[in-house]
Amino acid sequence: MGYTKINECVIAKDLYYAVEDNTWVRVHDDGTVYIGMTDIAQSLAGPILHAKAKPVGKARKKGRPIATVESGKWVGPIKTPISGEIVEVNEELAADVQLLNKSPYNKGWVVRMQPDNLEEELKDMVTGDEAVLKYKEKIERDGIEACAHIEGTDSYEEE
Amino acid sequence: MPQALDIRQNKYSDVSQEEKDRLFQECKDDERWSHILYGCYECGICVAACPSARFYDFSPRLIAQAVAREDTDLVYTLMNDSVWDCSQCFSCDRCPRGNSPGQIITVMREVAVKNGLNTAKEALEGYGRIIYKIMSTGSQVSPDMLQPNAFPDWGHHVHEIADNLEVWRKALPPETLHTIETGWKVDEKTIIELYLIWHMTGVMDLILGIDEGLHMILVDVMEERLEEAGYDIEFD
Amino acid sequence: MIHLPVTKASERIFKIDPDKAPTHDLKEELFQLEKEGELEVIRVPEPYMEVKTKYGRIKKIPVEKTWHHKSCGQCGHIPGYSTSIFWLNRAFGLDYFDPTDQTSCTAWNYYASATSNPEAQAAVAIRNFAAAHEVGYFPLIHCGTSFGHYKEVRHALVHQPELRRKVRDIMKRLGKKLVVPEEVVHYSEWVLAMKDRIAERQVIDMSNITATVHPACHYHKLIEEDAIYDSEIYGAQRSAIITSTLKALGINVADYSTWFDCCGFGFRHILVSRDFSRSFSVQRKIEVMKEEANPDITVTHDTGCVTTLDQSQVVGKAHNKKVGLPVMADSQVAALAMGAHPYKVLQLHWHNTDNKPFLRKIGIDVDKSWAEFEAECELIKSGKKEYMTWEDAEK
Repeated sequence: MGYTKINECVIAKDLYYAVEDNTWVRVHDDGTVYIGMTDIAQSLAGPILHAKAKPVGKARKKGRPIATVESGKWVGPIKTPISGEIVEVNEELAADVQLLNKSPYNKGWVVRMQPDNLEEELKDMVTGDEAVLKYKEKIERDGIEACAHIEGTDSYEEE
Repeated sequence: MPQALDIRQNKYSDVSQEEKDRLFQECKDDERWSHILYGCYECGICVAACPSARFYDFSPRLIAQAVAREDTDLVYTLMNDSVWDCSQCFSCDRCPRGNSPGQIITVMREVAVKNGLNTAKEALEGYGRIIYKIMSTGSQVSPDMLQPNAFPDWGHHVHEIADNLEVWRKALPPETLHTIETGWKVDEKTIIELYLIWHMTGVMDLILGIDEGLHMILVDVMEERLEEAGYDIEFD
Repeated sequence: MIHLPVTKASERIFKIDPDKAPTHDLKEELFQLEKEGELEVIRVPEPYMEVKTKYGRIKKIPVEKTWHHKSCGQCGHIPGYSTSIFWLNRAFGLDYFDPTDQTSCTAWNYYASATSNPEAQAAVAIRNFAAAHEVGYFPLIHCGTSFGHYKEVRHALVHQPELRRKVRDIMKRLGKKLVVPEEVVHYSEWVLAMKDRIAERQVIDMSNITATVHPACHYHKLIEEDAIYDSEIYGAQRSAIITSTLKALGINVADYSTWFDCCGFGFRHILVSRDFSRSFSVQRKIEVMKEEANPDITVTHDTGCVTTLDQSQVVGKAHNKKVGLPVMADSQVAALAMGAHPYKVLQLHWHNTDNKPFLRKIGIDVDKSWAEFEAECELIKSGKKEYMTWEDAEK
């Protein structure tokens, strides 16, 4: 996975992003997708205290919540950037919910979904250099000076 | 140091006088208004009793006067910059005139929330978890909220509790307290009744004005549970 | 020369006369509304005890058949508080009900964020009262905030016909009636009314203990006439709540100059503006209590007050403030006096400020008691027991 840092905010170039909602999608070989929150999202939330994902079998349209996340100062949804049905929930979050902070792009994935309309919906997302550009704009626009990371965070080797 | 309150005239010059008048009228239209404001003769007893007055640049007397004089511009400023300092203790209910500055503030806050004022949203930042908890579970505080990250200034003791939480909760004699996610065991039907109350009283619209994300997850949880219970209700 | 019959202040006797009360008797108005078919009143079951409120009116306190309206903060963070209330009822063999058909009063959220409205608040209150009535019990309120809020709701329902109509409508759609209790009773009022019976069964001598009392704002400042006053206690110039109970247990109640002050809980402030709560509780309450009264414990009767006073002392200590005063609820002190286990029943390990010196001062073997509790925990950890039961807690 190639990483880029902007103001200490990490973006994994191989993933697809819904920039405004701060969520990412990773397409798996079997056509299902992994969904999670971005490094910016975890930094804005702060150390996460609680996360609850919707169950396996739940069908969700794009933009609807697939998980609720609580930190000391915030509670809000992780909205799915694609429509589909949840086929797997990350059980490891139950044991260590702060994987969402420490490894948002790897161990901290939230759900895996069987998409309804992936090809079309990926067109509304960005990846690679375009994602980096869009995030650069967003970071500037939102006035994000730096992203914070807690102890035990993945070592994001920049490429 | 808490900020000094700026009450110069027309501080919020970007808001029209009509809008300020309208918001004040909303306060006056509240059914409680005639029971909580009789006119203020500026004795200051409320300020003497008020704990917030000792810490913030806050005065229940100023608020009572502003509404009594119908100074809609000042009322608007106070609705934005002052009402959230009140600690709702009602020590000011000792007003010899029978006013309740505390309740006047409650009404002003409700109007602020209803109208989605930015200062209301800011004041409630960080409080969203509680709203989520109370609205969705009918319990405001739960054992699993006792985490060091949530209460760092409560010291080491919170660590001790967090480490022993599961066992200590089971070591409670009352059966209804064998819970982690809610304060006590709540029946499903009770939760449904609560959701129906939120729906019938328009409370979810208030939440929407304050925090869209919070509204989304609440409505999601409620609609799902209501559906399972056989109700076809939408909150939008 | 005009002769003025002036009496010296010290010779004036303050006499409470309910006929000269400055307010209407809400109960009369309540029964009138019932006659008109506007609502139904839940009567206090017999036998009941009688106490007097601020203007000398009688308030009925049920002995049993109580529906325990629990407190979020107590059950969530200080569960020994709720446990001690139930324990007292059990100790006297009383018929009480601990419901699962109960929601929070939601008043903390209301006072904190105003993300609600009078209709919602009243509907939540009446829903709970109706749930109690449906099982034939009478609501007994555990939390001070709930108590004050429910007094306010009842008052509003009596005086605001539009609100009443809306709430009746909502209740109808839930299949419930608009029911209002004859009295809104706080558990600490029940403890006070039972004080002599509690003192009869006292097994722990507390005559060497000095305590300060902190009354909850929402107990005696909201609908202020509906709080217990007693001419024998503070000359009825302040509420007798808690003080009366502690005196019956032989505890020396010491006064301090900031008795009337709020603890600083602040509803929203305790979470989001914590420097206010901490500063206020330490500098206006704890330090003053310690300086002026030097008590062994401070006793209060509300969830928020226990939380704020207890938890704020950690930061106070870091600032070398004069802190270190253990905080307890009146029900915990009463239960302790009657021999309840400090950890299995009072669950004092959930409290922050060190209360061991107090326990040792009244002759409790703290280490032995803690070992007994830990033994119960071991049984749970090893899977031999799923829960600690009342039988385990009371042996």
